[in-house]
Amino acid sequence: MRVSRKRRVNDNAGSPSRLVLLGPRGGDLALIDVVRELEAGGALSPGARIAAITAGWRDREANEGLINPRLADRVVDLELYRRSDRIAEADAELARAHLESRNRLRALRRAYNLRLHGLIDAHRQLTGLRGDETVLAAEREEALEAIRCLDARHLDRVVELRSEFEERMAPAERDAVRSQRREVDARLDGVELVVVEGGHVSNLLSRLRLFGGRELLGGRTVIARSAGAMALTERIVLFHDRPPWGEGNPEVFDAGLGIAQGIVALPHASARLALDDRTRGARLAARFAPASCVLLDPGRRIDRAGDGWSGVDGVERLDLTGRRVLFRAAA
Amino acid sequence: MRFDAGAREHGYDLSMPRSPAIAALEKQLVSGLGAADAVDAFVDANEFPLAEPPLYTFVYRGHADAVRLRHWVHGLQTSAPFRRLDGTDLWCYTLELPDESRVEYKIEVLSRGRAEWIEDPLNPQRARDPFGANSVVQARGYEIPDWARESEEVRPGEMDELAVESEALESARHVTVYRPAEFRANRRYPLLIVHDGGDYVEYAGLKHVLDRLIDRFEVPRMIVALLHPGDRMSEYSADPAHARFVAEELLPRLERDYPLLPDPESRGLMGASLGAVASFHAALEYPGRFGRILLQSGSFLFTDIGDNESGPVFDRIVDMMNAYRAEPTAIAEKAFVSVGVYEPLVSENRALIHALRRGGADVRFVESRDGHNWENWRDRLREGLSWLFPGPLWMVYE
Repeated sequence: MRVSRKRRVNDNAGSPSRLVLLGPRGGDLALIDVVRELEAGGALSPGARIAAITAGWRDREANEGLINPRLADRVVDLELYRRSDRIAEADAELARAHLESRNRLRALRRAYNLRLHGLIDAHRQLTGLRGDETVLAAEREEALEAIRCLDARHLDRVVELRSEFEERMAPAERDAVRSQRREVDARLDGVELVVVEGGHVSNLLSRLRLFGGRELLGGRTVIARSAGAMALTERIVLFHDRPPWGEGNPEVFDAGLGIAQGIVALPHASARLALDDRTRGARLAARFAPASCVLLDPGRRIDRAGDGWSGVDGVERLDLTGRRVLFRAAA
Repeated sequence: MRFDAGAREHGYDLSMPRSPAIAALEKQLVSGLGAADAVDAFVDANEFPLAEPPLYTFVYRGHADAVRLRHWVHGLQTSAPFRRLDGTDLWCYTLELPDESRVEYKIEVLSRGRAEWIEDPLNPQRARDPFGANSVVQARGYEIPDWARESEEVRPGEMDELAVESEALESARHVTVYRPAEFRANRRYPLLIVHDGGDYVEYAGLKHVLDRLIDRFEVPRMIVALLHPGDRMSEYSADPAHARFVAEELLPRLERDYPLLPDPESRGLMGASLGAVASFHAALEYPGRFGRILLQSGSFLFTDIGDNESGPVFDRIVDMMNAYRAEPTAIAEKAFVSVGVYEPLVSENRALIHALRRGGADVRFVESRDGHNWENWRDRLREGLSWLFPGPLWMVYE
């Protein structure tokens, strides 16, 4: 297999002791239930302080109406979105460089999607083609491998472009960033649990990075929801099988923080994926294997304690034939 | 057949397809069962128009000298005679409709020398428009889009009412401005200016559509200026004064009062029928000002040979379109055009696509099995708005 490994994060620095990934709000599972369970199991002290990262909500960040009122007196919002606005106001050079970097990433994304569309169309047509299977099976496999290579190459290129920006601008060394980080550190003092809410995954990820990425989370217990869960994986996959326009081909967006390893998080899976289309499902699962494509619907949850994952209450993943199967503990 | 014997003399359409359900009812009638009871049972047991895809049978019950289906499907006779089942007061007309069609109609009842157009008493489906309401038949595969329905779970936008002074039009114009949910004065938004904005809200549910599409992240939060015309036939028919009002008076006023993105790709014009003409004309008169344009069933009349015979109100439009077709220019970077294949303007809109592309616009063109009406225009809004102003759908996972 020619999938590149060079972007993988190998160290466990900043990895949380306990990690819970949640699907979107809704369903029977409330954040407070998870917190209470973690307290009962000893992963958290009773009444432990909680930090919330709600940057994915953008303008609605720190909207108290969105935080469970029964937890409100224990929760401090880190306000990373608002802080990043302040950094941009205080450091125009950094803001300009960030905008340039973002425009380059957009151009790269456009080019990747053009190429991806062609490769997926070829694979789709080959999948539907009937004939000599001894020939066609190998052709399909090669068509799939071409997609995997493009995905991997794109991810490497995204990481490269972003690294160039970070090396050139060294955001962590700039006064405006350091000042805001100090305030965030102060808010994190005594915090045992960090909750990363969902929302706009790109906005969330860029704020998480600006404020230290994995280091920001430290060794604390982490609960991450929807886009929050995506941002913690090794590879963020954007997806919507029924968009208003276009084919809706899932696309690799960026590397996440790499804390949640071995999975591709797919929040709102039932609403956003055509799960009855086995061909699409099989292609999605095969593109990112051996990582598991986990269907994180509202109320669904997976946990990582130590090295292994476990799915709670019938969480499903896509297998290589595109079927929904139970997501089981994996080493 | 008893029906065929007298059909021709009544002017019935002998090529009319035969509904199996009507044929079964006629058999019952022939067998001598009580006609009134059989018809009662038939009407009670069915919904109308009677759907036997691809056949749809329109039914009227009552005493009349004649009954006709009145519709606006281009290419079909606009007045189609029902036939009365012998010995009954039940009238019917069967039409073959392709899947996904949607047709608005009325029933014309002629009695004692008087003709009256009525909504179908046996069909609860209605579509409203500025002239009242029509009955609607929805063929197999057509569904009212879920995103067009009002939802209490969706955060609603708010409406401001403005009076905008206009030297160009020599009077003030009333403009309603939609602000999206969670509007923030310190953010900047795209702007869409909508001709016949009040009608779009009233008859095409535009506010609910905006609320839903924004909530679904399919379009970004945006400011939408809803225009209410004065003398619509004059102002919207390629009137330079109206274009000047839009570009030189309304736009600066909106830029002063609302936090708008400054670039042309964040500004759009939209309209249907003559409103599409007014949108096109304003973009043409002010190139580079509006980067997005959404045109629905536009009255883009032109004459390759001979003179305009559609009436003087269209003279300016024909002149504009003839000139544009001869020398197309880039009026907007992206254009979305839609038209119903059952309306008479389909050729003009197809012709426009080629001209827009030659002018350099990136064009999306959608045809639907529908007519020149507000619900057709409503049903295309998701495709149009999300293509011209794509929202963060791919990025948001709440």
